[in-house]
Amino acid sequence: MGNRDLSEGYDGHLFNDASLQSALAHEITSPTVLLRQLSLMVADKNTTPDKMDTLSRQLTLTSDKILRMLKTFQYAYDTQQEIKLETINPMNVCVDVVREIKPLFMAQGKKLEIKPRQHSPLLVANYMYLKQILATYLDNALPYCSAEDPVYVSVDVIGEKIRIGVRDHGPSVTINVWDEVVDRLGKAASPVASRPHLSSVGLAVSHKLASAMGCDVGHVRHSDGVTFYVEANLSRQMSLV
Amino acid sequence: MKEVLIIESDTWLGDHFENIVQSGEFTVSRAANSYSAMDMITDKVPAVILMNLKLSSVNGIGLLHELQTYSDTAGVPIIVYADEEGIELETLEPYGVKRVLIGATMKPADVVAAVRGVLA
Repeated sequence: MGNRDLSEGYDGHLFNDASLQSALAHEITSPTVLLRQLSLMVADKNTTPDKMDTLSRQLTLTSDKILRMLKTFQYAYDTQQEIKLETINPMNVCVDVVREIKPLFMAQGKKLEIKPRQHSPLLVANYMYLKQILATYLDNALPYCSAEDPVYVSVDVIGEKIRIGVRDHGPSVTINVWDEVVDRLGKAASPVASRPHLSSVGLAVSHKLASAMGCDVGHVRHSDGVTFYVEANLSRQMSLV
Repeated sequence: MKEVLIIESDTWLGDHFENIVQSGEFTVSRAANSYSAMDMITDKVPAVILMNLKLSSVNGIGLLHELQTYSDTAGVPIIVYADEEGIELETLEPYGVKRVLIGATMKPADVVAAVRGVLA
């Protein structure tokens, strides 16, 4: 991965409802404004049929992104219920979430890849929660990659844990980014100053979902980007056979 | 034709503004972040800057501040747009901002009118 391994797990406090709602309302405005502007272009008499196809695709992908953000918000409150933990092949989750979000990267001329890995050990988590966390990381990584410097999703074994990471090429974040996100949620327009487009709601909810599954979230700072990760326990299923 | 520099991190929103500004018979140059914007301005000072306050790296305020520190860029009229209301023109005027557009309410004609307005 990177040259520096400043790995920072997060074990801080949770946000309150008012700050979460305020932050979500703020964050969801950007893609909604984009949706509105794209719609105005569709309505423009001078828009050519070719351009109309592109706009239609952009409208769909932007709507998908808004729906993912709303799902994040929904998950923030669903964790009151009992969580079903299951044995999961981490590569399957990676393939699933990348298949869903890759079209958004491609439509913007950017690249999203999974680091190939055979025979990954299984982990214990909730499939939908894990997928939601990775979707948040990927949406956050989108502004910080290109066709030459793709975003990579990787699966690594770290001791007794499986780490799924999303590596981007954006500006660095502080060691305390997880605390900052929660502390400034709903109070600052851009809680992470170096990354105004980063979804603080997404990160805060990712932490909440991970905690609910007994997993950890954290990040690794590289000289030219950041890896946001989620770590889950290795499944003992095989050792019981 | 006068040149308008559009500074927008979102590719699609940038495309949208480029189409609108070109329809007003201006030439357009594009920058995706504050750093590339400063490089482009160093090469050629545009007639107008149209920029999002929310950029992917250094935020828009940082760039506005820097532009005011150079004699050749301090006088360039700037139009900023923001997603939501609450950005006051009076607050940004010391940074050379002449118009504030709000993404939630603006229409394409407002953008062209703003560019023409600051050049008048």
